Amino acid sequence: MRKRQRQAGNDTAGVTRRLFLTVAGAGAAMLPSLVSAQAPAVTKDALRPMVDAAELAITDEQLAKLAGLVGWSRGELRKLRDVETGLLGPAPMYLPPLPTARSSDHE
Amino acid sequence: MSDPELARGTIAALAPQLRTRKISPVEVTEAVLDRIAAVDGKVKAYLTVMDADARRSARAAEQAIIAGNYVGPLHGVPVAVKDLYYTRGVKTTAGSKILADFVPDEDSAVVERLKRAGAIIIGKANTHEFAMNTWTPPTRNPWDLDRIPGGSSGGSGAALAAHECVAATGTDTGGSIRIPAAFCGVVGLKPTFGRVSRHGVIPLSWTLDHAGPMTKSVEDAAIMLGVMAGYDPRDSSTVDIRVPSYVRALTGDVRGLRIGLPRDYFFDAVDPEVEEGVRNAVKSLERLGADVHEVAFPQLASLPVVHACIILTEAATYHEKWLRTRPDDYAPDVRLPLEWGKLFTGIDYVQCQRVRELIRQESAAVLQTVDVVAAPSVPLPASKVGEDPVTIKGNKEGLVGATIRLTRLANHTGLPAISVPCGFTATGLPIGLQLIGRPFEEATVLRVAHAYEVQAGWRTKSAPV
Repeated sequence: MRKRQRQAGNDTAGVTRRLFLTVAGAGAAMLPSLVSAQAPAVTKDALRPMVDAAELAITDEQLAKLAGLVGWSRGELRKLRDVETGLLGPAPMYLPPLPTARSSDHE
Repeated sequence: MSDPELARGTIAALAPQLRTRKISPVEVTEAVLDRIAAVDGKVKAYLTVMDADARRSARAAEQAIIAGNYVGPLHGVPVAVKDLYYTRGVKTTAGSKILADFVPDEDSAVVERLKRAGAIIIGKANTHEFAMNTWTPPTRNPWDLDRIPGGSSGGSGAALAAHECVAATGTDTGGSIRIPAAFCGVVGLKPTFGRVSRHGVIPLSWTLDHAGPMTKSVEDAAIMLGVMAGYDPRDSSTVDIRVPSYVRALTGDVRGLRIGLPRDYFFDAVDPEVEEGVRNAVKSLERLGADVHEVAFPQLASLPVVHACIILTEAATYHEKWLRTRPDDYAPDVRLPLEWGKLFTGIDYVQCQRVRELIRQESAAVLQTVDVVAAPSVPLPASKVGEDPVTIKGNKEGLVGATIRLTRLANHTGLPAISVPCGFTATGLPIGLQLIGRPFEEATVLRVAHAYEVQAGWRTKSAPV
């Protein structure tokens, strides 16, 4: 496995972000055969972006506005990863606890 | 010629007259339709006025009541429905070009319940496109037509304030019932998550969306919630627990109830007139016999990003296909946040849900010590159309961020929360008092809001439109 990765890395043809998402979506088991068949170079850079900016349906002017929002949210989200959650929890719940008496009737 | 006073009525005032046949559902419906014809050119609260359907339903209600088949306080009462709720055979656009011609073949669960209770669906009230924002163009605020009605249920709030309906429905994902209620001087109740079915309501964010009533009085909110609430297997968030008589809870007595007054966050950056109105309301409750205690919510600093990540990731998921195929059919102020929603990672989303749970636990701990928390609904009165950012105490802040700042906590915790009018600014704009209660204890929230409303007497003032 390690040998195969090195071979792929020697190929100068780049993996497009879309291909990366397609490959990732096809399942991890298929990844080695697809990579070797098409011989694209997988770089760390290809793994970073979640969405290809070219796919965003916005104008350059809106993109500039969006960049500010994304910068703010990424800074805040980094802080959230350090929030003390303890060894076990919490699970990502969002339902309020129920009262004990249950019945479908209206009073 | 209809009696214009009928359009100004509340459910509680009209119901006994309808039950005893002193007035007819046809008269009430005609009065409301005449009122819409007279003022909606200026207010623009409706996307669709269902005049033919409403008249047909009113005649049927009249016949049923004459035949002795009165079914309850909503029988023959004209109700506006936010255009996010499916209405069978009637256009449901979510205020968007995307769904401009969409006609559902079924009613939403809430509309089913309202119809079963005899309500006359009078029209589809405007919503900000897909409920994504808080100003609801082109609807105007009946208290000042140069100002926004709030949103996203701005059509419902404006229709109530202008007496273009007797009651209305809204939806609330970050404050979209309570914000227009506060700006328009009406009552808006966001029930507990799971109390009212969202089946047939076009989603914005599945884990934050709530459906609820908007009304001219707290008693009317109690009546509406009694009809709207209940288990629905088609919405897996709803729970099979007893729906109490909310009207019976309106005793007027708040003696011994504990009111929590936040010492931070909720009063950190609030317009002075709004703060004064809310603090005076809390003093009134104290004079009525409630005990006021200071409370604190230390975790809320993370709420803005938690809210942005959860609501936008879920909304971007719902809209992903249309964003690819019809991006130009969205207004820019809707499209931009939806695109932002694509940029959060899976870990971001789940971590935000986990931090949300910490916030929920903290809020639950606060509500172990008090019965309700009192705060402003919105930190400012209705802003001018096009004013963004807004200025609060000399500081500029984006309109959406400012308007949802004090309401979104109840969406993340699922707690019931109401906005009830608590006065006016010097320029005559309404101020909203927010009361947040324990899960499924809407009865307590309504009881406190009602006692305050009766004592304060703000309902005697009417919008000048």
